[in-house]
Amino acid sequence: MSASRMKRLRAPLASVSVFVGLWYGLAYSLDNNFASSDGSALIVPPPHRLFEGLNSRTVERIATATGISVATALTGLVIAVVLGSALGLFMASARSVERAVWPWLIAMQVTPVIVLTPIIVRIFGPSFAARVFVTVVVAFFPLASNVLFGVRSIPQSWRDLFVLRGASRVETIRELWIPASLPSFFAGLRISAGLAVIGSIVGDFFFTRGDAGLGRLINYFFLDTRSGPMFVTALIASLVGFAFFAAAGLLRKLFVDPWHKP
Amino acid sequence: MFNITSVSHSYNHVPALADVSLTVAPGEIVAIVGPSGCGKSTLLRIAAALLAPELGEVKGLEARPGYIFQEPALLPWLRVRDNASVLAGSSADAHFVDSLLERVGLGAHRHKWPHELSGGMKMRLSLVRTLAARPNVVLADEPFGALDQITRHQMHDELLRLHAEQRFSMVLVTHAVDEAVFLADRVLTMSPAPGRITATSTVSFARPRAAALRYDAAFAALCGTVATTLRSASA
Repeated sequence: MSASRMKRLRAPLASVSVFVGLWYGLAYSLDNNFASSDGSALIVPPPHRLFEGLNSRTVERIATATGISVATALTGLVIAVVLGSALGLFMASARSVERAVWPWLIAMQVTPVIVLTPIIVRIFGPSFAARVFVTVVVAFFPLASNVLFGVRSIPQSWRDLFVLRGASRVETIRELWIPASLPSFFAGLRISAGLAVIGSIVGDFFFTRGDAGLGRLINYFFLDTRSGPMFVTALIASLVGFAFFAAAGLLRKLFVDPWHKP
Repeated sequence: MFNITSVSHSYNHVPALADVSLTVAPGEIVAIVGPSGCGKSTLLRIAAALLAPELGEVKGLEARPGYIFQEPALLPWLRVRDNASVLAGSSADAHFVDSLLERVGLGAHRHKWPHELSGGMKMRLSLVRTLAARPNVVLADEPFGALDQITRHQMHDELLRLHAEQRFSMVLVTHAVDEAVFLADRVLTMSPAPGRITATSTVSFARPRAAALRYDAAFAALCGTVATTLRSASA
């Protein structure tokens, strides 16, 4: 491994070491953390005992739940990308539109999902579609907001170019607004990608029909006081979030980084 | 020929331009010099129909005049070749665009991104982008202000060569008196805001103008005259 790579890894490795140290500290300092009968961890298992109590049936359940949560998050994220971008462009089209739509967006963002639960169940039923809907609600705000910001930040001289060319509205949106807002779109996508995973897990807690996703499995292990599998499931949920975040970063690297040098 | 007749404009009730009239003949280069904030750029934006004047009118100007901005204003997501065709749009003549890029020394850089170019190369690309649309009139708003002196002189020579070939009319706004005298047939001096044209100096040096003209005594004398006019207009 090269010296520069080692140098780059130093800070993340240090932070992981601190995290593991704190984890051990927490596991062994909590009162009554270990059951006296079999010595299993009740609240927080120490890292080296994390995988105790994982049998093939549990692993299979976690794998299935991961697939379901990934499918929910991905479907929700794709819909959020389409809706969020379209809404951002729509708001950018006129200040009056922005003023009319923006308060509703904020209201939707800050309203607790539980308030909407009965309405969502009524419209989508209590299974996959409802969880996707929650994911969309949670994930689309950064996209709409960042696309709007991207269009609003277009320099006047670029706008003038398209006026001088006599470009139509559609040409201006296609050739100026969309590419110019890509850097901020991808910044929003990284946030939304993480939020989509959170949305899919949160949705699991409210809509319990159909196959269980990671959220429902976490809840199941929690009620069953199986802290080991619960933490493994939570860890996998974090890894899925990382993967989504990294994928968004990779897309940015492919489509924006070659030309965008801020 | 195009005319700007009795144009006035203000921003938030603060007058920026007052009763400015200007006629530019085909193939003529008119330079406008004046202190900062005297309304030079406003006049150019009005001429290009990027801004509607409060009073007055612009006549005889084609629907899409060429326009060179203070900064190169290149679109960073387009490579050099595509940036060169942006103003010409779908009607861009590929051979013509390529020949212009070759002419200004960007032929070998056509597949590069704008961030890979130097400041001078970016400005040359901006010039090519404007001329690729084959405009009859070019409006240039302090296009060389950010360049170092050597690059600026190279750009002047480039511009005059292209002007000799294409014979477009041009209105050039600049802070640099020597630039105005070297490039233009007439130099107009504007007063501080609200901008008015206070003096006209005719530049009668023959074309094509060689780089050596900059060291000519008559050139220096005319620069001195224009600078004096400018100082008295600003006083």
